[in-house]
Amino acid sequence: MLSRLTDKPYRLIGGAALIGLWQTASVFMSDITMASPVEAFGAAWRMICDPVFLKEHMSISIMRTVLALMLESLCGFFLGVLAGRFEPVMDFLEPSRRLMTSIPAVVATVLAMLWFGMGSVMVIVLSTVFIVPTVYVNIAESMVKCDKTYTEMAFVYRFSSLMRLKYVYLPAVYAALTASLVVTTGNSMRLVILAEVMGAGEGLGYVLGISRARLDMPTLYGCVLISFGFVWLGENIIRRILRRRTGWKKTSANSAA
Amino acid sequence: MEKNICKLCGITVRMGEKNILENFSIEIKRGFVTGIAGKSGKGKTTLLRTIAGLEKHTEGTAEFSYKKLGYVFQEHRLLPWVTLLENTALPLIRYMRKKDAEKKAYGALESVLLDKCADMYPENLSGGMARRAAIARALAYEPDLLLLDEPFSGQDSATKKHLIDVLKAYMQNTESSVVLVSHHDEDFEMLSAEVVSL
Repeated sequence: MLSRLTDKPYRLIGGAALIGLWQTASVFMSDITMASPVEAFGAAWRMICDPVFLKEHMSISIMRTVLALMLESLCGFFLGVLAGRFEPVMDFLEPSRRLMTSIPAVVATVLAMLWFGMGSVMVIVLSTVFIVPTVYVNIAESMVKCDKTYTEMAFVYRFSSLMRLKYVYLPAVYAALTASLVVTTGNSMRLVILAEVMGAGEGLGYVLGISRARLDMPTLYGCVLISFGFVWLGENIIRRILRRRTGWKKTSANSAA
Repeated sequence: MEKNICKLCGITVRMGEKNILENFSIEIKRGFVTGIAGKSGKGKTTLLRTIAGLEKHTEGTAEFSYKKLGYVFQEHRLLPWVTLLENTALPLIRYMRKKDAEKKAYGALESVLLDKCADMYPENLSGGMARRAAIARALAYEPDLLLLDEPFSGQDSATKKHLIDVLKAYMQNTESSVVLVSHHDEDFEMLSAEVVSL
């Protein structure tokens, strides 16, 4: 882990610069607008060590994010595959896609609160509605741009639909799927927290909302750090899983050498 | 059994504003090699693509009586994310168990002198080797009509002679038809092809 950080010194320097900038800003700004890094890290540590926070807030936010991530990835993937394969499906979904990408987050949050009330369903639905179009567009575009030479080969040799999906389309959309998953991990957490701030009685967003109301800046910034840590961990897990799935690239590179 | 495996009568294939093939007729006889000769841009590849169902003709009639079609494209068109053995076995998986398909695919790779490369990925092969792997894929599939678009390019003379012997043996064993596109008359002579010029 440490060696991976030292392998990329500029990443380490960038992180240190960010903390330095934060510390400098906190010196010049009021306590009720910005907590210092030490205070924020201290508050985050206290929250992580608090079993009540972990059980009643953190675990709920993680559960909501993971569920939203699964739902939006599955919906986006299958709709994207269908739309990329069949043009009428893409045309049919286009108005919905445009609606979902243009509706302001606040409006959607208010509507979701009205339709689903406060709680997990609202938070998960809201996150899903915002993220699905990103995954969908990435997958659909990759499917459309899938190398025609391979689809023609599959046609000539009468590959079944499942074989086409497994051997031609899936590898072609793999890069788009990887990029989408990495981006959506962070965005899902952000949207879950946003929805929790607006309309939930528990979760990291709820704690963040309460600490903002109480002007408790260390806790507020601590929540941001915890959220950052969770997204960082999630992204790394996804990258590791996906790297393992693309093992063929390494193998072929080795045999070339 | 019909005498012709494929019969095109007065077909026109249009791409954009241009007619690539115009009022063209050909009969591909079962069990024979038909050679397609002609300068670049005359529509040789378009003809093969039309026979394969990859291009639609706007005029004329086309009759096909083949059951399985093999096509060695101008480019190798091997999937880069699977090994040569898998590439060769994939078309067979619909018709037999994976183990049997791989056994047959290995035999086909052996016939084109690529058995030692079965576990390699296409990106690690030279152009000529990849072309041979594409031939192996087509032969393992056991088509009754085999379309070959300049299959011997990138091969040295000894390998080319070997491939021609393999094709001859395949035709003898299966009574299948071959349509060969080439710029070299010697290829047609070696396979005793009936040549049609475009």
